[in-house]
Amino acid sequence: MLKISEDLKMHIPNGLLDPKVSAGTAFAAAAVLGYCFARVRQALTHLVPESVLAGAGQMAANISEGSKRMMSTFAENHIMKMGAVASLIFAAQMLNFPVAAGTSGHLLGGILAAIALGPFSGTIVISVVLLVQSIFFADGGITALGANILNMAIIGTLFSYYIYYMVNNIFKGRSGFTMGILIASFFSVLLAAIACSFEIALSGTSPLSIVLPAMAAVHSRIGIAEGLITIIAIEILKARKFELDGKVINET
Amino acid sequence: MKHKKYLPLVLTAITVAIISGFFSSLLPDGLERVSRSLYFTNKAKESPAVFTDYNFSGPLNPELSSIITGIFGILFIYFIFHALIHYQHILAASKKLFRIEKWIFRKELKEEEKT
Repeated sequence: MLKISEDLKMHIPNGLLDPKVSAGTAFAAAAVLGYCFARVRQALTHLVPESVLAGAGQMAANISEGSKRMMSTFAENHIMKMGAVASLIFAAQMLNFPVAAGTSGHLLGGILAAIALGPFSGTIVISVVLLVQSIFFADGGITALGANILNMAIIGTLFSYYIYYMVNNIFKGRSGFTMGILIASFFSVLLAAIACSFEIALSGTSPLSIVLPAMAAVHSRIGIAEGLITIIAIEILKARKFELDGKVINET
Repeated sequence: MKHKKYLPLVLTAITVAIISGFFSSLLPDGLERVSRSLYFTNKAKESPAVFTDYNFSGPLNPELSSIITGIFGILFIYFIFHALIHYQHILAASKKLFRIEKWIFRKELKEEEKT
């Protein structure tokens, strides 16, 4: 049996990427995350008119100096939901399941987060999970954090949500919902793996012609499992009357 | 705790962490499998962290320490978002901090100010 310390999980560890790729991916990840944060903040706050600010008194304690924005009533509920989904995805990423002889995989959770919370909140949730994993658990290196966020949070969540969105536009109704989740989950894992192999190849760790087919072959199997787990999880959440905010905020 | 609504989800997460402590597959995962078969796994360096790979050095067996660190991680992530509610003014902070936002939402902000 393997020692647990040898188990590196899906995340890129330190040392596989060169400084240029690390810096480039970190910059790209920071830019997109900033945009996501702005979109979520826009959706969760609303503008407070000057007249209300003047007569607010005690209420104004919640509003910081010079601010004209206030959290809407919807916001608190949404942030609690983000915390709950984030902790669930963190736990799910600990659970490795065997996908083929000698290989295991774990849930990425990108599509789960995007459908439950909306694509922009989902991206932030997955990024927080990756941050905590890299700081406290050495699951994914700190220098490779930008690359991991780019692969899993941005390509695996934000970009893959649009695959779901497009499939949902083609096939209407319940079948479109199911098909969209299955297809988008599959591609979220596959595209994240492809992006990962491009980063490894650009760093000169291993040639692309060897890494890409190997990564794609392994992760297409993980992708099928990801799709099935995501659809089961979403159905359970719906049965438990968990409101899917993906439909409510930040649809496009 | 004020917000009990999503506590069942967090309890589910803790249950998943306990299950994964005992049943998580110890086989190498996707990236590690590829890096081993292509012989570049030796390039990976262990980064310094508090609980490297969900373990802390101590008298506990790996399953139990994985469960405890997992539960710590779950609660830590949950309280990051919980803290965001208590410090709402950070999220709804002064517009000066978010000049970039003005540029992104220049059309929507105009409409919002009109109404």
